[in-house]
Amino acid sequence: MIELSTKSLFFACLIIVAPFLLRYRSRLRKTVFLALNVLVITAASHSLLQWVITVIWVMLPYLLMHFWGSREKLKPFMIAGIVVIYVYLAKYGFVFSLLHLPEIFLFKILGLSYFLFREIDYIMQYKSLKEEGYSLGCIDYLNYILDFYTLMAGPILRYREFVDDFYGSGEETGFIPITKKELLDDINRVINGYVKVYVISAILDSWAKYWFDGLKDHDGFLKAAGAFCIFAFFNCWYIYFNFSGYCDIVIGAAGLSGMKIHENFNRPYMSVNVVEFWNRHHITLSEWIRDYIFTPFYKWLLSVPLKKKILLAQCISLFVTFLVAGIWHGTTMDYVMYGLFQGLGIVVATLWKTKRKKWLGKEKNKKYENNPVVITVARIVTWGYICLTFTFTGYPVMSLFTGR
Amino acid sequence: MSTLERLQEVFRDVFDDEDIVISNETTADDIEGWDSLTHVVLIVAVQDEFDIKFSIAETNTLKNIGDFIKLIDNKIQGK
Repeated sequence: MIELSTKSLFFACLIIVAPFLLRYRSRLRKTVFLALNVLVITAASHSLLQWVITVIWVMLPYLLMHFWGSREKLKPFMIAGIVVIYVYLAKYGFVFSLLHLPEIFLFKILGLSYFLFREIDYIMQYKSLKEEGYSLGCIDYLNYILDFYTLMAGPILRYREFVDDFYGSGEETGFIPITKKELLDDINRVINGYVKVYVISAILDSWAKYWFDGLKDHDGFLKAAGAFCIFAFFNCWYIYFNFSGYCDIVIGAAGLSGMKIHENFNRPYMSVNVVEFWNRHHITLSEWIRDYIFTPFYKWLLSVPLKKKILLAQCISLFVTFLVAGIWHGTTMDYVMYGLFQGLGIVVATLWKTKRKKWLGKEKNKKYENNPVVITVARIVTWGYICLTFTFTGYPVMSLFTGR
Repeated sequence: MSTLERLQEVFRDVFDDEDIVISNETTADDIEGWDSLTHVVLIVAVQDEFDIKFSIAETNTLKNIGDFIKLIDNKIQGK
């Protein structure tokens, strides 16, 4: 998560300077953006080796598609290879200990997991992008992959959207117009984001840490459970303010440079079930995993093994999708648990909705869903469940429960 | 049966609602329960009905039913 450091100050300076360099549409704009992106990657590298490995990791999909992009059958192998390299570079603890892998690189690459999403999107979309006449040149590719605004914590970019937005209609040149209101809105959003990240979430984080550290001092189940719930409460609000604050900063800052970045949050804790939660929290991640994990897996299940068993195929696909998404969030067993609970929550919500519709019928179900008491209870239950599942992110909750 | 009529049957089946009536101008906002999850279910059902395949990019850029029908017709002609 985001903390105040030299890197954060560097980033703050960068988002102040960048609009002066990028708000002007010219032939040089993409080169200037590339220079800024390379500067960020270089500043984030602790050694020459780290920089070289980052460049190789970033360039790999480009080179693969440049030479073998027309061979569709190779795509699954390319993606599998990229994922294997990612798992190694991200240092998944349980994979390393299971396979007794040697740890060659001691560093962690900045934004590694976000690189992965973009690289897979590029490989998967390459053919249709080429058919649609999109520029697939090296500079555009690098700007998409390295985009410093969204490198650390999203939102997750898609190649098509990035290029469309960066070039506009392709004929516009000169200063990208901005109204006074848009300018003030963007600045306001950046300031709000900084307050959320460095004031509100910092306070909530310290409270969450305080209650988590004190958990072992409580004797008696009820006292410990109560303390755990207080920790979970602060932790879930910390996650919301920290992550949505970061997104506010980058969406506002990119707006100042004339770039649009997708919204990533829409009042997630107002959701009435876990399915709706994932449509409101980290929206770009939900869309990505829907397109590249859920859809192909679901289509495959329906095509052969579970033909006509729609609900079962849906539940299995959702469970697997959110398990994978959970594991992507972090490299320890806690994140596997996080994924399992998200998958479980989604499956229960899907089953409940489908069965309830059958039991109640269309009209009664509609009345049920619009009942204010039901909505309030559903929101509280969903939020409580999310609160508890979020405890697995960032804290060694598994060790706490197992006593190891 | 026209593409629109066949598509309407698929919609009624997927959304479990015999009263659904679609037109070229219908969008996801007009049909209750058409969220991102149901969208995927719908796409798979349409693929089965018309014996065609869509790519992710094709189905993510559709604006309304009119666009969807054009895409389906193009796919059928290209078979």
